[in-house]
Amino acid sequence: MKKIIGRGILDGKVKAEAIVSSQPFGFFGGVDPSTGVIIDRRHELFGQSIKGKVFIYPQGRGSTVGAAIMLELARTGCAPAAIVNMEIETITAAGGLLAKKFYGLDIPMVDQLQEDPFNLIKTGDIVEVNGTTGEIIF
Amino acid sequence: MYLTDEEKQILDGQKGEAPQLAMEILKKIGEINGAKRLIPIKSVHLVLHAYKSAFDAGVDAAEKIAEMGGRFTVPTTIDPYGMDAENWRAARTPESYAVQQIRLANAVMKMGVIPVWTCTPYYGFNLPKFGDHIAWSESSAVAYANTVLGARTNRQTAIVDICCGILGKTPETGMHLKENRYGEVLIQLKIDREFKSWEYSALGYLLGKKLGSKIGVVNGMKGNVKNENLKSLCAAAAASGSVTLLHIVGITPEARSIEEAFGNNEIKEELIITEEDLLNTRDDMCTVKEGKVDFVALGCPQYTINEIVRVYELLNGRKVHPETAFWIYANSYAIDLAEKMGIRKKLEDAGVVIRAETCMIISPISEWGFKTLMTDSGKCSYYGPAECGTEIIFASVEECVEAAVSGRYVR
Repeated sequence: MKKIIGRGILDGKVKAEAIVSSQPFGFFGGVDPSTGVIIDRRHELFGQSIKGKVFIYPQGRGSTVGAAIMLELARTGCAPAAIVNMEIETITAAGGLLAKKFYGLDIPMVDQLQEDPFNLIKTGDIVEVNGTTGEIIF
Repeated sequence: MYLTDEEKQILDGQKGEAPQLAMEILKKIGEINGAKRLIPIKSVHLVLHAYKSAFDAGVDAAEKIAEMGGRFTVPTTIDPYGMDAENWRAARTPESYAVQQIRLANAVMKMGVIPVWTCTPYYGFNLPKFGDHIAWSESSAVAYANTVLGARTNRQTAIVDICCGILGKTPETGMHLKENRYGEVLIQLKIDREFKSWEYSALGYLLGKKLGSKIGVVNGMKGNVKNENLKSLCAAAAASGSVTLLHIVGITPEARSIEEAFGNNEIKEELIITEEDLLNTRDDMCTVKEGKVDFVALGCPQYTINEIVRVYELLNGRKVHPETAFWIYANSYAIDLAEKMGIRKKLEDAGVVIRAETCMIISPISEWGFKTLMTDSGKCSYYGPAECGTEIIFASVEECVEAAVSGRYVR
């Protein structure tokens, strides 16, 4: 078992399967909020689902409407279980915060990890994310 | 984060439910970004505007905030309408979609939005000046406001922007602070001539990929650069990356020289961009290279009157191919001018459709069954495959008009 420490952004603790990409990701045009499946044909995770998973990618990008997509993912039950970024964008953090405010859903978020997670965590690994303490355990 | 006594009262709910929710959200967002305080803003521009990107959750949230008493306290404009504002039925908008779009519009109208329904609010409706603090969403307009106007805004996001409009404030972070606005990467253009219009979109697309969220300083842009060129460049850069501010030396108010753009930052990274890079980027932007074109869509960001006139000139009396749809998206301001100039009628007689106050990305077009969308927009090239469900050909406006006439594009 290994632990990486980062900065806890949004509270909550979950343990779930990881989905990992070293490419930036934007929620608008990136994911179908009715399924959680990635629809961005230019993204390496195209066709895979982030629903109920610990989604690990470097940073957000693209459209500022992204927070609304995250809110819809919360409504449809297709949101990721947690998000881990190197540096979180306001758009991503706001999406999680709104999911909590409007649907009472915790999507723990952690960024600024002390170690690069991309060589350590693989898609399919079971990862525990604590958004309060900033701990990632796998 | 420091809150004034009045802000604490708002947080305690003494000024009502909606301001309390807005303060809770802005306080948390401010804390995540290390803000020391909230600052007053001159205007807000919203992206909770189209049912296609707001979905049911966005409509519900807008209605809830409006019912809680949410009212804007600073001028607040909004992105394009989620369907043709003049005639959504003729645009084959599903009834179920229209119902939700109208609910969303009513909710933001109740909060006091100025219904400009445009992604280019800086063309007349909401024009910040140098140094103004504003809280805008719409990534292309954010990049334009910082880069071209020298106003200061972060990339706000849906609903957080509504909170900013209700409170008239935003956390003082990121682009609001001069020390965060200096350049990080030097981009040397090795193209010793004025750009062709498509090259601005390609440059933006390439810079978005290369820079991510870093601040680039573009040196060596030649010739008579138009506002429309900068609009295309900013939109593409903010779509393929998270570009918030580009310093274009000689254009950006804070970049009269490379030295001014970098301030105290060292130049740690340098990129060289050649004509070949732009040609390669153009290939990257296309999902197919050539063939039958059943949909030519211009106006992402929405076309200005100058761009509409240019299409009229390029058509030069010819008619659009019967198997090709040729649509131009524009805001009410540009459409009104096109009508007064008699150009709208002439374009429509030639087979061009003017779609009002919306765009191809955020209005539903799947009922049309288009296979291949051709556009001069870098932003549309990026979002088109996922949001329009079509193949994409990115090309110059001249090539787009030729393809609309012949129904085909051959390189």
